[in-house]
Amino acid sequence: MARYQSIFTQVQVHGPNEEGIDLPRTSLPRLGRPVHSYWLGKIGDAQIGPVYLGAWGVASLVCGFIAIEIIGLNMWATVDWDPVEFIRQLPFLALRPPTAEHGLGLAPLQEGGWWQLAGFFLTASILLWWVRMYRRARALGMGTHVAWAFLSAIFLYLSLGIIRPVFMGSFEEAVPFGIVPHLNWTAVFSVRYGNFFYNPFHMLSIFFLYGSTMLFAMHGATILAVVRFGGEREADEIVDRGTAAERGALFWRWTMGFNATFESIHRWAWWFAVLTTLTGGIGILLTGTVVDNWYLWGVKHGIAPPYPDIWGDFPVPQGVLEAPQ
Amino acid sequence: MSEDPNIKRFYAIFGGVVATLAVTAFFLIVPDWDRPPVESVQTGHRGIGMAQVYNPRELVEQQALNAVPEPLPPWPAAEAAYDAEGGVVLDRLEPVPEEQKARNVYENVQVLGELDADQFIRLMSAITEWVAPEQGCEYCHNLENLALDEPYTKIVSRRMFQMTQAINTNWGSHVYPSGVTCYTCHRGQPVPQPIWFRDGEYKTTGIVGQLDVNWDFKAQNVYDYFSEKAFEDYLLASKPLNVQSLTALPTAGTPAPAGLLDDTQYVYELMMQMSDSLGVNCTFCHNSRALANWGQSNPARSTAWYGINMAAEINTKHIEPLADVFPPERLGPMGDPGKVYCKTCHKGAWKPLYGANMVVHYPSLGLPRLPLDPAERVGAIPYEFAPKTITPRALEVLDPDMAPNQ
Repeated sequence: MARYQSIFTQVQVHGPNEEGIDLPRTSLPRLGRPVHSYWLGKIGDAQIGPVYLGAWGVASLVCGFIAIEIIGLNMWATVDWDPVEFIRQLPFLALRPPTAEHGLGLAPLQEGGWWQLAGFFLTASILLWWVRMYRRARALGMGTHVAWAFLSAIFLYLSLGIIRPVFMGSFEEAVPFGIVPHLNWTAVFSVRYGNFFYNPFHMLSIFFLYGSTMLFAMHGATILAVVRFGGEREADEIVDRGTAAERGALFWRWTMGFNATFESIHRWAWWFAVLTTLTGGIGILLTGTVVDNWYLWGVKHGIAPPYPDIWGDFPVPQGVLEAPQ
Repeated sequence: MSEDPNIKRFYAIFGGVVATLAVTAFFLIVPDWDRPPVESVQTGHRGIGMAQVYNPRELVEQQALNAVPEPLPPWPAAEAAYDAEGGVVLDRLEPVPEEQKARNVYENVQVLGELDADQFIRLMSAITEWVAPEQGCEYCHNLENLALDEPYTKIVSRRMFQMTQAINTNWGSHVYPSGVTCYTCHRGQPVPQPIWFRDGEYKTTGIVGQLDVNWDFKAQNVYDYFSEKAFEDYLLASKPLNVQSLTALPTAGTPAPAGLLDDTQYVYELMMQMSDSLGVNCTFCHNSRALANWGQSNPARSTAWYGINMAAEINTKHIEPLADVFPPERLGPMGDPGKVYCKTCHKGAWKPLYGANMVVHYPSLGLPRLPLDPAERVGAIPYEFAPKTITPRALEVLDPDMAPNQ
């Protein structure tokens, strides 16, 4: 009898390789001979491979490779092709979008054209990967829930990289590639548009993001806790409630007065995850287009309370700009 | 291969433990952490993060770097004093007899000629201690003939005297009441540190490589790492710093200037430099929820605003014109002389030398006055504001006189 009390996976199935069903004649072949890994079996399925890439997967990887190459070589050129400096400075290296003067046009390669090319190929790669997700789900006879959830994340990515820049009429508004540079961009973006914390869609996105993590913890913990009663057969218990489902439900009714069901908890989780990036993307699209200063917007709508002034009124220097009261 | 699975397992676990310890050690040792305790002081309304965080151990180190040199023995007329309102009464200075004036006693005294000759020598002695204590008089003078305008440092120092006087007399909004002397920046070094130069041309390597990056890969910290574009824009070209919209919604017919998002990055870099230069957080001046809003800012922001303008004037009016005077080894890659930013004077302290008033002992450098314009006056924040921005315990270390009674 397997024990489920540990928070680490203790059950590993070893047996003949699962090769999958025969592929249709038009398909590309699966790649690689399956192997078993004891250590990966600790956190997931012990069988690794085979992988099915197919035409969409290959096209996606090629585009992704080109994008990474463009980004990486530009970064490497920034440090004059010094391999040591490349590693040392990697967190700070950037591939930046064109400056404002180029608007939405094609910029010369060194003035943001490389960013446009990398963005094109990265976007192509992501969209092709989405098609692959959709088609693999269909091929297995599954629903396409994963693909639509992925599309929500892609919507946020597209909002940042292309939709909003098009609204604003300039690629300058888009995000640079790079580890620290894209983080810096978020800070600068928030400052430029008057403090993103007052953007209600940013608030919603944070709500769903944190809510997702909480739901994930609640659900994972509940299932592990009722596995001893057969609760790992979650899908069964959706329509054929056993004592595991009853106990899990009762636990939450006792502790917080309301419980999801074995079915609805998965819809909760899916919607929370999807809404995180969906609301985030809406918040991005509204910024600079219909709202120019989120703090002042917050004041206008009564969500930014005034605080008592402990320094007293002091006149501001002449010539500085001040928002009208 | 018939290895004992237990041995394999042992190696795997041992390897995992070593790797975990190595990663933990890396994150503990490599970044420059501030270990607790740190001290925080509230500087605004409660509960909104208006606070300053100080590492008391760093403050002690910093204190040693900001020791104030003893003034030279006074000459009789140096009794200029602040009146009850904090203004300086200059007319208490006794008139100097014509034949005692420096310009009549020595040759080629262009800036300090009105001084008493003895007072002039006293000032020369002081500046030697402040600027060239090891090199001595010959750093700025030809010892064969002190009146000659050589070496080049003589011309530079003449301009620096004019600059110091201009700062003290015109920029009370930033430097009142302590004022500045040569020592504020030089601290015993002929070339004050740190300074900055215009960025060199960025070399591209053929088809890849971008034009707009210019980082200092030898930088020891992230503040020095970024390009000097922020300084060029705001401490030289005096571009407007305002990057936020003044209205909640975009105003029809008046689109935001293009490039504002890029500008914001450089404003951000300037502000980070400023924070590092003064050893303070953003909330020393701003309420971080509305950075542009003056009504919610601390009065220190006003002082800082005049400081930015002052630094730009120093760089454009007093330092850039010296480009032809300096020898090539003193110039940057674009042939420009080293320029100032906040840290050149502040050296990590919220006030240079913690606001010690040195210039009162050398009034010929110009005595700082409260600005006549009331709007400028707010910039001249009296020293009494300082205790609110620094912890009582840290204050004991920094300035025992200001510490509250126990």
